[in-house]
Amino acid sequence: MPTEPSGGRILIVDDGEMNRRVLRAALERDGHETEQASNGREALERLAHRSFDVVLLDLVMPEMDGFATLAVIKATEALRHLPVIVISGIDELDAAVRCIELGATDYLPKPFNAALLHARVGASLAGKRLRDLELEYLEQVESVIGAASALEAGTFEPRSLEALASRSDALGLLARTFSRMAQELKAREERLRAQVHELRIEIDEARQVRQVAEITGSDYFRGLRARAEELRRAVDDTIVE
Amino acid sequence: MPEPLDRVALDDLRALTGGDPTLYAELLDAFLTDADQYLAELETAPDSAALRRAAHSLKSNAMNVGATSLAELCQALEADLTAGAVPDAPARVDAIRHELTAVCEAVGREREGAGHAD
Repeated sequence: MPTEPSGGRILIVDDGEMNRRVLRAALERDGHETEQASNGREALERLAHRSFDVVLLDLVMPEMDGFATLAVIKATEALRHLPVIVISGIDELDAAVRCIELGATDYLPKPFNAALLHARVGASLAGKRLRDLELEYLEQVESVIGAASALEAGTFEPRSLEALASRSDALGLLARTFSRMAQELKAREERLRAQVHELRIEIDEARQVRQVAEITGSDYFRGLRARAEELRRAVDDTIVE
Repeated sequence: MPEPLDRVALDDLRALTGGDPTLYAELLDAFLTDADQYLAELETAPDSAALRRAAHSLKSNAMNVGATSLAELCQALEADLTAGAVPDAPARVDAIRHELTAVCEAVGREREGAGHAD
C-alpha cells in the first residue's frame, strides 16, 4: 500500500495580501504546499494548468468574485469534485450557506483560527483522497470488465491485468483469479483444437483408404488390371522371341 | 482612549505563525501594505460596488489584527452600501481613515516588539 503524503496542494484565492500570507503561513506549517491567486480569474488559470487538492476561496474579490469562481468550478467536469472551502466573515454566514448549497465543501470564518483551519482543510483533504481512491478503484473495476469483454471476443491479453493483479486487496485477488482462469481456458481450448486437428487427419486417412478400396474393388478396375496383365505378358513374350 | 488592537486577536495571529517572530512581523507588514491600498481604493472608488469591496477587504484585515473599531466602521459602511445609497460616504471614509491611522501606528509598534530581524 503506498504511503499517503501528509500534505496536500492547496490553492489560496484571496485579494488581500495579508489574508493570503496568514493562510499560507498556517498551511505550510501543517506541511501543505500552497499557491496563491488574487482573484477568481487567476484561480481558474492556475486550476487549468495544475492539479490541487483543496481550494480556499474568498467571496468578495475584484474582477471575478468567489460566487462566479465557484460556479465555474462546479460546472467544469474536471474540477467539480475539487473541495472548495469558502472564506467568509462571521457576518457573511448567509453567503457561506449559499455557497455550500452551490457545492462548496465547507466554510472558514475570518479572522482565521489555526485549529479550525487545520481541521477543515484536513477533512477536505481526506475527502478528496478518498474520492481519488474510489475513482482509481472504479477505473480498475472497469479494466476487469474490459478484460471479460476481451475474453468473450477472443482478444484477451493476460498482461492487460498484470498491474491490477499486483494489488493486495480483493480486486487484486479477482484480477489474479480471472487471469488464471482465462489462461486455463485458453490452454484447454488449444488442447481441444489440437485433438480436433488430429481427429480430422485420421478421418481424412480413413476416407482415402475407403476410396482406394472402392476403386480397386470395382469391375472396371479389375478389367483394367486384367488388361494390364495381358499386355505385360505380351511384352515379355516379345522379348523372349 | 481605548487600545486600537485586541491582544487576543494578535495572539491568535501569532499562533498561526507557530510563534515565528519573523513571519509574524511579515504578516503585520502585509497588513500595513494592504491598508495603504484599501484606503486608496476607498478614497478613489468610482462606484458604490468598488467602495463596498474596499470596505469589506479592510474590515477583513482589521479583524485579523483585532482592530475592532475599524472593523465596525468598515462593516457599517459595507452594510449600508449593500442596502442602498450612502450620501455621507465621504465623511464615513474620513472616519475610517482616522481610525486606520491609529491602527497602523499600533500595528507598527506591535511589529517593533515582534523581534523582527531584517
